[in-house]
Amino acid sequence: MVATVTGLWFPGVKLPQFDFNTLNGRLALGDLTFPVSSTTFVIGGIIHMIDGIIWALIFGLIISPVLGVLIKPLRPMTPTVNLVKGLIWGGALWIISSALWMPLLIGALLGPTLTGPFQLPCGVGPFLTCFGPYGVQALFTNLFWHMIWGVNLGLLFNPIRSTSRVRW
Amino acid sequence: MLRALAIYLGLLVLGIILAVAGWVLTPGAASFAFPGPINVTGQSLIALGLTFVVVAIGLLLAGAEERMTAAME
Repeated sequence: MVATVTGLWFPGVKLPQFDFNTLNGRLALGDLTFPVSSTTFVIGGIIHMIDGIIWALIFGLIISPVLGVLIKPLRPMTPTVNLVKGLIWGGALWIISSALWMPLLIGALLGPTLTGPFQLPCGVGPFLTCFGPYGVQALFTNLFWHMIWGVNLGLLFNPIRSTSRVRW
Repeated sequence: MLRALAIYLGLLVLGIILAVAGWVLTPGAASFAFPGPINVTGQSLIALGLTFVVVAIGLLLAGAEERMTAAME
């Protein structure tokens, strides 16, 4: 929720707006009208919230324990370690989003309307490098969005209060 | 422990510097009208800088929680 709302505010800091609600709504309803209808936005928002909850559950039930087993320094469930795990999962979802979700789904849906250099249709480009008028800044903005999500997830995820080692 | 704090603060300062540099490089004012200002380098720096800022704030909060928990035990 925090990341979703922050994405809508991105133009306030000169970044491209990341409106995942609308993108999900367009995918679900096939709505390609501009401006988007409020129904598409709301339904997309519900889908996006459910997405976020599912990814968070996967993190809590699978990713966090597995990272603790595979990487020894990530074994103690201290707040800092939980945050680092959240950042790792946010980074993984950034790669999945940029490499697969955006090019394969959003690129295919909005491909004809998004044009890159020379006004040629480019979808969203390989690894989100041609999102309408935006180049690689869309990729880094997507990273920023997923790090906001990862930080929130990592800070809220505190299943066991283990004996922590003070770091500062 | 002070070394970790210095690293977190360094990350925060680096992020602020990158974001400010990106803001200066990106022409025009912030705008919610699509597509708004476009500058690959400037906006990339803003995004990366703010990413560092968010991560640094997260680390500082997590470190503060650990410190307070240890103090209460």
